[in-house]
Amino acid sequence: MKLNKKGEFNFVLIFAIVAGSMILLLAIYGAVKAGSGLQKQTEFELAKSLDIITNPLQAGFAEGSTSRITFRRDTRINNECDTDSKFGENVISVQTKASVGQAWTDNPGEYKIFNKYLFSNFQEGKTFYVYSKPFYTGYKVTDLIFMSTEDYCFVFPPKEIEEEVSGLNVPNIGLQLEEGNNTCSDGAKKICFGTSGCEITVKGECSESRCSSAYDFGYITDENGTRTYYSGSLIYAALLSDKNVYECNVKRLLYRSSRVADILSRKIDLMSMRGCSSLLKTDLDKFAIILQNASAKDLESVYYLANDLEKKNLREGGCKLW
Amino acid sequence: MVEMNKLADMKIMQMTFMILFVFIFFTFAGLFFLSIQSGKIAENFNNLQRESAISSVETISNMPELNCDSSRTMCLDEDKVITFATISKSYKNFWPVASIRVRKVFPMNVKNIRCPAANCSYYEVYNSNQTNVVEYGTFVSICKAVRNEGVVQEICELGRLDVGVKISS
Repeated sequence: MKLNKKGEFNFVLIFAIVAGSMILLLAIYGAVKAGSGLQKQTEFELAKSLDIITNPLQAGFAEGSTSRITFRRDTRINNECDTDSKFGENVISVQTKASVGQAWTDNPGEYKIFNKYLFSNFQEGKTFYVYSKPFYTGYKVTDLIFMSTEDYCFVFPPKEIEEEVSGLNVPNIGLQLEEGNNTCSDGAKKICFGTSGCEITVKGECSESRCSSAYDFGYITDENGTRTYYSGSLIYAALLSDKNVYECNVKRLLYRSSRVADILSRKIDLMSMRGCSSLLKTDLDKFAIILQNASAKDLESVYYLANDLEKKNLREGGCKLW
Repeated sequence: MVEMNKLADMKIMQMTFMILFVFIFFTFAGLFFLSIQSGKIAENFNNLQRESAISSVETISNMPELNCDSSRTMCLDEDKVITFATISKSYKNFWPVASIRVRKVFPMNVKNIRCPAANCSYYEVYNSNQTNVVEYGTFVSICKAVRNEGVVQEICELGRLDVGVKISS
């Protein structure tokens, strides 16, 4: 009888322990899954918010604008670019650091941005500096958006870049000037203009009389010896992003520019019906065809063609196209 | 002995029901939590869509495909709008919006005629034909250059740019 009671007690206890622990495990599993689901939801919302937040940075008529995005937790922002569709896209994924369990989520949700040109590296931090500069190929095509957490130091930049950086008032880009002024922070990534001894070197290649500065276009060489070609405001794009992202975005930009050229060419037909004819139609049609499949290596010829177009448009007087 | 067995069976039944009850309780609690969460997802989605549309209104009016020139904001070039309306299908997915419509507000035209046509009142710039679309808009200038007796003039009308976004029902 005593034995029976003991056996009965043991069975009830074992049954309770097994069933109880199963329920507990199921509850923990459910909670963890729900938690990671919520984290993914938050990350996707952050990626979408990044798209919305950067809308005002499409500067309108301004020559540039600066902003800062601060997250409550350490955040990783990965930016990829592809040209699968006609206009291509930036694919943004955001990961926030979890306080319990696995720090970073696997397979973060991706958010595609089709109408922006975002230049950045893979970055981690709480504060991200975002700024924009317009991109022209004779006419304005769009505003380029740059995003970085890292500190940069421009060593002996040319006057126009010095003024541009000072005007933009970007907190994470310091200047080391020939006159002795130095606003660079310790540990900032050094970028030399024309001189050597930095992690990144910029070499201006524009030597013709048509150039307003030697740095209108040229090469950027990093510590691995990778050379990246830039033109105009793309200098910041080439400095602040991966070579792949940069070249992919440049291809997207040039395609977009070709579409704008096509619209401007069609606009001439409508304008001429109201007595406002233009001599630019042939040039714009040719330019649109060249840009359609152009890439970063074509930037030098695009620069000269764009300059010529701009000058011709100014000569159109009241009937100018842009 | 039989009585003892009955008692043991009773206790096991009691325990089983208890565990079953606890399990059902947690399941319902989980379902309740999930329904609240999915409601929040829909709400957040709608909020983000709304914010996206509102912030897109200015961005779209300043796009080089539609704007007068880069030195002016909230100004649409009527020639570009006409041209763009014919090729906007190639811009599918490019916009974070479901529709773009430009309406002439002043001088006012009572008839609802789609442009380009005589005395028309609105341009259907882009339409993805989605349902559950809510529109947000802003007032813009709609301008075009006209040569009149050798003098080039810019004629502007008051318009409204409406941008639609899909919201979850």
